[in-house]
Amino acid sequence: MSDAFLLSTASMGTVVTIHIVGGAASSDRAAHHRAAERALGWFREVERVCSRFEPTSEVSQLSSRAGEAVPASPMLFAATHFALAVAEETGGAFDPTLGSLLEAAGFNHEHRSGWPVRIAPATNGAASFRDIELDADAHTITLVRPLLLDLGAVAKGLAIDMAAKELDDNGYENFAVDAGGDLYFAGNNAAGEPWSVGLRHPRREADIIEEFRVSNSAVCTSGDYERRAVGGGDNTAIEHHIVDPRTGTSAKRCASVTTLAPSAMVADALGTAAFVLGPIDGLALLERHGLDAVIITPALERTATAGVPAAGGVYRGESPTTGRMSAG
Amino acid sequence: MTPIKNNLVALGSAAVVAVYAAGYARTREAAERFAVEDSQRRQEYERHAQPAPVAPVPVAAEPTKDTSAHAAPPARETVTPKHTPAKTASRPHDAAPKAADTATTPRVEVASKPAEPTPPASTPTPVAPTPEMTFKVTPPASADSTTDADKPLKDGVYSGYGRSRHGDIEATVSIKNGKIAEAFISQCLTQYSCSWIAALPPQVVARQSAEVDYISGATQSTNAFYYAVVAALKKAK
Repeated sequence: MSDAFLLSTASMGTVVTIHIVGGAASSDRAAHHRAAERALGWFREVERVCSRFEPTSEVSQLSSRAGEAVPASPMLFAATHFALAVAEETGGAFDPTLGSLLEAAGFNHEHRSGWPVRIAPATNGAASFRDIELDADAHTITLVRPLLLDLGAVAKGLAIDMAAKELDDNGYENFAVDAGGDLYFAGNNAAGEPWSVGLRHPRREADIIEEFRVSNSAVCTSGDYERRAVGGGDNTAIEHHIVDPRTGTSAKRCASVTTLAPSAMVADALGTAAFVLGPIDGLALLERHGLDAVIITPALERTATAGVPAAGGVYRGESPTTGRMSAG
Repeated sequence: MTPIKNNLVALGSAAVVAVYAAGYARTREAAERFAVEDSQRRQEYERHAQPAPVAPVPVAAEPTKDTSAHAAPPARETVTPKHTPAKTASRPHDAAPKAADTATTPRVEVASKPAEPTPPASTPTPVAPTPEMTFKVTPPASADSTTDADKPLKDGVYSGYGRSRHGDIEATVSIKNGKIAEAFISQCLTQYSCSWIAALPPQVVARQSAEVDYISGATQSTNAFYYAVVAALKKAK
């Protein structure tokens, strides 16, 4: 009867759902269930390592040890390494040291309980990504000065990628990982067609502004309409959570940026950077990295890369390039 | 410019592979936890639905004195206290029994990992067979062979309660023409919002059965809902 298996959990401030196509037989369902649990396990794992909202997370611990070369887990190291590479590539339009600015603006509530958290050390507002040093040989991270490392723009994407990798590695070809606005689609949906994706209208919540189909690609949207900082905090220059690190104010040139990439982490981080850079420079950045995107401005003007399909068309990414672990 | 700068896509893929290789063993924990919970629930169901157990197979491996469902976990194969260096804290349940347990050794394994990747997919590993068997054996045995289950459902509206340590849930089913036409949560007395399990009632209708999916993170509520539906369906017999 049901030909898709779904499993959901609350993680990273949103509901995460794994869809696995097929599974009418109960033995299939049992296997699907185990695989989906493993995939969701990665969300918990990434949160445990990378969430700045959890005082016991590895990244929070790191933030309290400025000046030391702190040994990092492979995950924290890889996530930080990637975040710094994006920061460098974008000249600081993306910066993982935004933590203290965001905290000052009221983004300091644990997402499930709503409890405020205080984990910020005395931070210096002038900190930037250049104050983080990585030692690839020793696998250590050094915060040169006190700062709050915020891997938010990287962590959710990483968790999606890990979940997708887990499913792919378990032999699944048709599945979706849905973490709020960020998704990864593999193969086809239960109807045997590429997954259908609707882009939300940035100003009218219930409306879809554009729709096409996607297979083997991550689709991540950064929008100015999510998580508006209303009434929280004392920094009125920050109206929503995408902040231009170079000015310390909310980025205003885009209303939404939807990025298509082989990896959700790449889509998320570069999409966020593009949002800050604005439609022209942002699109150029994404094109330079071979990614596709749709950018909608606050005036509802649309720009997109050439690879974005027309309404109803199909976007096919490459099937996982890294290959399955089982394939060697 | 170093290669990093212009190859963010490659760097991203490399990160995923590195993290996956390093943490490969870790997600087993989640899968095993599910296996435990699942076998518990099925056993519970057996107790509720058929006082005289017909299909004792899955239970055989478990200790006999588990009066509460929560007593079961220790029964899972003998967890050899295996001390993986340094990182033990983060992977306490690596549940040693796996034969090819190379994955538990940290980092260094990266290169050799690709060679033993099959466990999760093809061979369910020693851990999996239990739930696998439970799945195959109990549902038909309990649902179809009991006297209860053979009876057709009588039309009407029936409610039942399911308990969990986080509170109770009342489920209501409406039977029309012998089929489950509707199912919903009629009372949510759990301390957590029942919105987490909102996906479950439609499954009852779609599957014509109480066998709903688990919602990760809401296992207690899911179980309570399951029991509630089982209780409601019993009244319809």
